[in-house]
Amino acid sequence: MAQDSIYTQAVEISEEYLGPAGERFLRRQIDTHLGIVPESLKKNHLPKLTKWTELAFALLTNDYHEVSSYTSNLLSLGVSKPVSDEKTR
Amino acid sequence: MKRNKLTIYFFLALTLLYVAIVMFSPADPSATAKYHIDQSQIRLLTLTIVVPLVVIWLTALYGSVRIHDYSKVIKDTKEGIAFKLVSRGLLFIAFSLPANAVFGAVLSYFTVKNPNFQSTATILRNYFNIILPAAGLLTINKGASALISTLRKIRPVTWPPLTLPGIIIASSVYTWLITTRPFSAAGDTGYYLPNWIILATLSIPYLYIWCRGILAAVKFFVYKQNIRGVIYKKSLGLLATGIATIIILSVASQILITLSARLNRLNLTPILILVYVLVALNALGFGLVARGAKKLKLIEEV
Repeated sequence: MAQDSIYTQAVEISEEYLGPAGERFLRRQIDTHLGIVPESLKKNHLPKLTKWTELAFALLTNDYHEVSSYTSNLLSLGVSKPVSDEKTR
Repeated sequence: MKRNKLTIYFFLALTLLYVAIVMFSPADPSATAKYHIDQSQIRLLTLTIVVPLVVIWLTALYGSVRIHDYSKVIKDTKEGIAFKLVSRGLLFIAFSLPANAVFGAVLSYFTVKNPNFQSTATILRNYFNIILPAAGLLTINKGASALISTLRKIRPVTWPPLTLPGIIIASSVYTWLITTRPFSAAGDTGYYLPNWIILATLSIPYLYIWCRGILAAVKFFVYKQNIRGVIYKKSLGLLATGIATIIILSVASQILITLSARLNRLNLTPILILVYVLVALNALGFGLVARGAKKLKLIEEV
């Protein structure tokens, strides 16, 4: 099964926090701060995107845990999954 | 924008008109006799009711404008039409507050001048009072249904076990209270209409509208339960609680209006307490709507 694009996964994460407004929020952030077509989002864009979304999120909630959990989830999309210990043995 | 401003100006004009009518028209002589107070005391008492009333009406206007602004921001989304209907419904309810009061005050003015007008005034007031709240509750319900239809999956709604018997008992008691009301004898004001007309044209329509309104409130909570988004849910929760409060108070105040002849038998203090409690809770409802709509709009803007 083909893996979802980074953009689709980022939308999924955003919707976990912002519901139906999640995709619109993400598109605005990508369009305004990265100046690229949202669907062309790549792993290397994530650190910059996360920085901006963290600022935007701080305006929406006072809960620090929500902000940090959203940004860390978003950043984790850019981290290659480590090969498990059992497979390396 | 122009239409928005016109709506606000019209609302403010209605509010000022109401204040002018109640403060400058002569007090009902039967009220001065009943409560043993003179004209100046009546004016002072009126002022203590008018001031909080105007505050709540302005809060209602503010809440309606806020949710209208939010619905404009999301007009091109799948939730857009639903929120547009909800904001329109809330505006109808907000307008019903000064409009019904102005109409009632004008009718009272003519009744004081000409006591023979009492029966016509009562009939006109009873039918006028139903129009805007009905339009509001039915439109909100339509909007709530549209909102539910945007959900991909809906968890089945479980109603509390006594819902149906509760509705049947409440409807029966309400109809009983209406039909056993004394007609215009011994100073009591009634509907001045035969029972079957009251049932067919007031009681049944009111019960239908209230059921639709309560259903709309339930739909908002069902939507909230089924939607994703922890932050979105919090803002929507404020909006849903506000709308539910407004609907329940709208229903409660309509029940009180239709049963006002029974309330007239109480002395002044419980009536005033009841009015103040309703006013305070209504302000809370529209305040929550304004706060929720503001937060939801912010999500769409940052």
